[in-house]
Amino acid sequence: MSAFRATAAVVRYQLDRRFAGELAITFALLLSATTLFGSLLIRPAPREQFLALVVAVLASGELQWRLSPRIRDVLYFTLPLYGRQLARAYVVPMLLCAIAAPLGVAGGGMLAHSGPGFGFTFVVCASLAGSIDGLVILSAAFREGAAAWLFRGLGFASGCAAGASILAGKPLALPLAILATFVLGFVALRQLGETIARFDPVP
Amino acid sequence: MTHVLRAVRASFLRDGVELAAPFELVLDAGRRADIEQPSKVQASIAARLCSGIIKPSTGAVYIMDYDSRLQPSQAKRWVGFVEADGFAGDARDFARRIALQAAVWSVDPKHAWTRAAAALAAFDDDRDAYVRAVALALVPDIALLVLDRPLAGVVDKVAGLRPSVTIVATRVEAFQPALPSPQEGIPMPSRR
Repeated sequence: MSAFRATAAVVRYQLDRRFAGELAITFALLLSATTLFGSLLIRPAPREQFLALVVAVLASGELQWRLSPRIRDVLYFTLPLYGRQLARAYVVPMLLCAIAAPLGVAGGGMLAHSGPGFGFTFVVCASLAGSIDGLVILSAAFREGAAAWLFRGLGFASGCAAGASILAGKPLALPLAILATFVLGFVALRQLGETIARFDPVP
Repeated sequence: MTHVLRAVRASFLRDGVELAAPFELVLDAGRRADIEQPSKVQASIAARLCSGIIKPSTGAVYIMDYDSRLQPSQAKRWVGFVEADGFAGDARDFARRIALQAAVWSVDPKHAWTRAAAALAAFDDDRDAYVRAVALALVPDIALLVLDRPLAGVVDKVAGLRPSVTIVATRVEAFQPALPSPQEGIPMPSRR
């Protein structure tokens, strides 16, 4: 059995109509909301985009959380895969969620300010922040009660911290944040794999 | 000799509550077993224990001599599992699921469809959710099929279709109403 082929099959299986619908709805809602209210809440200057970053991370985290019961479906635990393989397969839809929300906010921000106020840097840093948040939320999906909320809070805080460091505009902030994201992402992915391996899907 | 399924005092506890009492089971190829449990949840847990989906809290479950706790991936390679709710998706979802099963178990997609169609043809109602779930479980080359609370007649049909596959079915114990003994008499409503 090819591990890559199996993981790719699980990724394809997750990208169904419901996932596409949720992604499109989130994008459209963020686009319209930031178009309507963006000029009041969001400033186009790079250093004043923290609120937009928070909105994007919250939205991608919420989308990820709404979709998270699907990854606990018993189907995935019947497959002869290791926890780390399932963790990798879960990451791809999570990344799509993490990219869709910043694109919606950035698109709305551009329309609200009639110009490219929210450009490439914002989308990259908000996607990185959403990815960190999303990875931790994936682990939260396998926990209950206070532990799940603690993980959600931790994901949001670490995501916003990584994103804000880029928006601060310091030299080398972007490459350092990308490096930090990869390191955090690697640790979070390993943790997720171990969480899945230990998880018992009780009815 | 390799046993298809061997449960050695396997039990399952959650928060100190015993959801599956310790049980022993040894099954070879082509054999069948019924496991009766007091409730639906316990029947589902017993099914998931036997298929390596959940790990025993005490004891061990071996599938084709692979320990379901230490070698879950190797153990699950030999297992087909059918949930009590069956497969509720539409035709498109069914096709996607066959593609997933085929890719994960390295079965040729055309072969996978042939197997699923053969399984569906063996049943009278091929649109039933449980029957479709059985057809999906029979797509890979499995040695053990675990059926969680199967419909009447499903076990016999599967055994006819795949005689070499070992089948474990979980059931909920039949409810025994506590009737009064003849000595006690049947209480009658009082007339005032």
